[in-house]
Amino acid sequence: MTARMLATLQRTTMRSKLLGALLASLLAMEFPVPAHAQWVQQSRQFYLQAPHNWRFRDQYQSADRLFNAFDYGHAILYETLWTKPNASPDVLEVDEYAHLVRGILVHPPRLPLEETVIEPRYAQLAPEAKLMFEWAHVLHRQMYDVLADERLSPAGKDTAVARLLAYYKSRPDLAFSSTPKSMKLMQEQPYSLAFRTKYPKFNGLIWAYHWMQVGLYEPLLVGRSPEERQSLVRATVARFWQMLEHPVETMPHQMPMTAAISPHFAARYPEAAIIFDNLHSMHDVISDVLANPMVPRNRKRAEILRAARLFRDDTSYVMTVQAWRTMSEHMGIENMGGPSVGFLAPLPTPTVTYGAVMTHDDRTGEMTGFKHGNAVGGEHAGHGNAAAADTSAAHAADHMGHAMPMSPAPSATTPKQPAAKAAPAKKPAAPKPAQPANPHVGHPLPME
Amino acid sequence: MQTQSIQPCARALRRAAANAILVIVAMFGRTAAASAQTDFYNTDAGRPIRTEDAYPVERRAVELQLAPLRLERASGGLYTWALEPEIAVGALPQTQIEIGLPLAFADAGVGRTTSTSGAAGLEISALYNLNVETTLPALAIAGDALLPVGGLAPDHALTSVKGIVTKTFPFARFHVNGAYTFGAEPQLGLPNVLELWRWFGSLAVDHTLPLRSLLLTAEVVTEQPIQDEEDVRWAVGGGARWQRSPRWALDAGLGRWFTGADQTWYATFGGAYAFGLPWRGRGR
Repeated sequence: MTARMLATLQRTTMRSKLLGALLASLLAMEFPVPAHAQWVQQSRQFYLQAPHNWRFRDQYQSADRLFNAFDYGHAILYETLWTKPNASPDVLEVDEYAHLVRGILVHPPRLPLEETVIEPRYAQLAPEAKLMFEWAHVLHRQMYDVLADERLSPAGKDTAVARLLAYYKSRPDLAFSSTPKSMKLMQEQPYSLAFRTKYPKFNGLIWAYHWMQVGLYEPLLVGRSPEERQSLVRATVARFWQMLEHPVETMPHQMPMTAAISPHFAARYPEAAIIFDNLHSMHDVISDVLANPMVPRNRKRAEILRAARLFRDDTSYVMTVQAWRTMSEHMGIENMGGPSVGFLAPLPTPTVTYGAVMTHDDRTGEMTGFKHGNAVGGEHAGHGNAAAADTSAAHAADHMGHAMPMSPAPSATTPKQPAAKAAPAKKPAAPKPAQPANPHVGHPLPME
Repeated sequence: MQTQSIQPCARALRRAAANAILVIVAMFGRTAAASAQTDFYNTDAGRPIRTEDAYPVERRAVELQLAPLRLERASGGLYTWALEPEIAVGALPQTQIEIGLPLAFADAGVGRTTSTSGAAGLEISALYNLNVETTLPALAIAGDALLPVGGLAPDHALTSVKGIVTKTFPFARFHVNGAYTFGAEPQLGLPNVLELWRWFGSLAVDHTLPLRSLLLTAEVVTEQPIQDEEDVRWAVGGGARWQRSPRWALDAGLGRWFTGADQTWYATFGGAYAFGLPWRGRGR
């Protein structure tokens, strides 16, 4: 045998060994390929390149970092619900909650997170939904950037926001609808309420996140100078922390609606506000789907994708913009954590039980009753509604009468279309508001 | 293959490499935030290890590998430096197009009486991600053409194909790469500065520290060099990729070929800057 033949033989042997090693590696990875394995094709997309990129991060670093922490909270929630379906509620309500509130939120990450690392199993369950969230979060971030860019005039900000929305909608496979959706889609489905019932504290934390995510637009918009914007943002962030002081009492009792929390923002950029409400509604829907054992594990992906489809389309569960504003008001801002600017030092007292489900007229947005929970406390004492009973018109009227009016912002800025402007006229006359009509005016920095 | 002996050019390349290092070191030390978000998680071939994941850069993203440096030390203390500037563009959905211009400098040594430097080809590649992970792993295919541009390039174009598999577990992510180069063996008058291969296979594992935007990775690689007479060789390597700021990701790696004719050490160091393609769409 010549040396060359020997070398050839050795190479052949090495190749065989190599192939064997690679095959063994693949097998060692033990890819689970169940019958329902899904072939999904989708791509992530870069944010819109613009001069305002990362302005919010530069100007409002501590608030920006909190948003990174919020991403962690959402991700670990879904991963835990999906991978530990039989775990004690304490895993989320005690352990993970403490980790978040005493650790992650106190020392938030300096950069946006790669959520796949935190929720790998959930990301594999429903990558389509995960990408929808990512895409909407990109819009969230870029909206802050625009409003934080002191180089832009108000008209320049309007133009920049219009471009952001157009860019966002250029991915119809990922974009939430900018048509308002009835709360029925979020909380009157067969799987609804499972999460808030089983994990009230974590649910309240998520609602507090959502309060701040939509609430922070308001100080950026109504502040009359960079200094005022800075101080208002600090106050809004402090208000968020205040909500975590005594869970769940101090937490939002309802999903914060953008038109209520940030009325100036919702009036100026209604499409964005609606998209964010739809985004936050779908967050709750996925929590319910994952938390509800009535949805079999092999149906969870299908339910999530169904919800995702309904939140993307412009035809399902829709209501008019005016009805959406009315519904937001009738849900009661005091039940959502209160306004994000111009608030009093104490948190407003909720007028419904935690996680109550109000029913609304889809055409007008007006409240029609309670499907779950009831009105409570304060001026509502003695007007308790039957928790399980469907719709009591009288009780509904009682509750509506006590809905707290929108709190005007501290600045003189007047929204072009005040969110709550038309709604009060439609509301039944309140015998006595739960709080004075404009109690929060002139108190931009209650926490200072 | 022509052998060059252009000392001024070599000095210039060394200076460029030194400057690149200074720039990157300065970047590490900056306190103010530079203004992709999680680019550190998207590993690219050679950054910091040869094995890459099955995902392209984000759609409409542009990633500039500005000063990716590779230093190789062969037995006997001979060094080969390479700068491999690249631009990657998320041109289409799930698709990345990449163009690179590797520049190399090699010390004088066996077979060479003087040091040598120059361009080592023009590399054009495309990666297409076939699917995102579900219960199935993510798969991608890539094609690459190395064109004979520059004094250290092969004498004819070489084309290769690669398959990539990525599977994520809660504790780690695994990647398998396998590639094959087509065409006749090129005439190389110099050591194989680009480490051209007939085929290679690799397995990598990475672990991410998400709150620190840091990825740690390690790999084992085996390859048949492009010269048929050379033996199959094996290497191990490792490295890290760190998101410095929303736009900057830095990487560093170290490895060693522990079989084959040249049992060399190598190190890589680089920075990637990401931005978006201009978008002409308008709002209302």
